[in-house]
Amino acid sequence: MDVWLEIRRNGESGAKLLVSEYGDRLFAAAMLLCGDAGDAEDLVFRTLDRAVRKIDSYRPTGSFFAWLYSILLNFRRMDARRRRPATISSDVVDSIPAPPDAAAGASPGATADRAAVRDAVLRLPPELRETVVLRLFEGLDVDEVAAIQRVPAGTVKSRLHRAKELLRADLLDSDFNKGDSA
Amino acid sequence: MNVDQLDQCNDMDQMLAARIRDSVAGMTLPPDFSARLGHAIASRRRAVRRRMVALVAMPTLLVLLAGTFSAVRARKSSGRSAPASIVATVSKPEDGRQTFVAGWTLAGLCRGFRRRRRDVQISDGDRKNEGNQE
Repeated sequence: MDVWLEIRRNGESGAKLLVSEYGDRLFAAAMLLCGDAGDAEDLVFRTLDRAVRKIDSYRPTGSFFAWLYSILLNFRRMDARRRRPATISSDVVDSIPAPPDAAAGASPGATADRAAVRDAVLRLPPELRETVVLRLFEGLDVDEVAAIQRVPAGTVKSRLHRAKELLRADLLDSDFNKGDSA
Repeated sequence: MNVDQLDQCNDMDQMLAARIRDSVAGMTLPPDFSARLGHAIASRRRAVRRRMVALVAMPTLLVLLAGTFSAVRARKSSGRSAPASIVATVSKPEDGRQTFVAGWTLAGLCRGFRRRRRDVQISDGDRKNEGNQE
C-alpha cells in the first residue's frame, strides 16, 4: 500500500510506515546537510510530522519522496536563516563527533575517510550541499532536483559542477595530507 | 566542454557518489523515533479536538442553553413553579421552536454528562486494574 494513502487512512499507523520506509534514508541525508546527529534527527522528526499533518496537500502526480525532501529542505533553510551560519567553518566541523559507523570494527583509515567526505560535504555552501545530497547521494535526476530546489535545470547542473570541483579539490587535499602524514 | 557534458556520469562522479553514500552508511534513527512521532501525532490530534470543542461546540451549547432558559422563563412567568416550567418546556409544546431547542439541549447535556461519568468510571477501573497488577 502507498505510504501516503495509509497516512490519509490512519495518521499514526501511516507515520510508522513512513518512518520504516523513509526515516533512515532521510536521516542520512539530514546528516550530510547538518553534520550533527541531534540536529539531523530533529530535522527528520519535524519533516515527517509536517508530512503527516499536511498529507492532504500532497498531489499523487509527483514523487512522494521528492515531496518529503522539499519539506526537509524548507526546514533546513529556515534553521539556517535563524542561525545564520552560511557554511560550517572547518573548526566547527572538526569539533563534530563522528557518528557511530555501521561497520563496527572498520579500520581507522576507513573511518577517517568517511569523516573526511562528510566534512567536505559540510564545507560546501548550502545550496551546493543540497544539490550534492539530492543528485549524488539520492541519485535523483536533474529535473527532479530542479523541481525540489525550485530552480532551472541549468542551475542544478552548474551547481553540481561547482560542487564536484570543490569536493574533488577538498578530498584530494585530505587524501594528500593523509598520505603525507602516513 | 559544456555543462551537459560535465553532468554525464563518468567514473569519477560515480566514485564520488559512492564515497558520499559510504560516509553516512549505516546511520539510522534511534529505535524509539517511530514511537515518539506517533505520540506527537496523537497528542496533537487530541489538542485539535479540544480546540474544536472550545471553538464550535461550546458557543453552540451556550446559544442552546440561552434558548432553553428563555423558554423555561416564559413558562415560569405564567405562574408555574421552576420544575413544572422545565417539564412543560419539554413536554407541552406551546412554541415549537423553543421546545425543539430546549429538548435538544437537555438531551445533549444528559448525553454529555452520561459520557463523562462513563469515562470517569472507565479511568477509575483502569487505575484499579493497574493497582491490582502492581
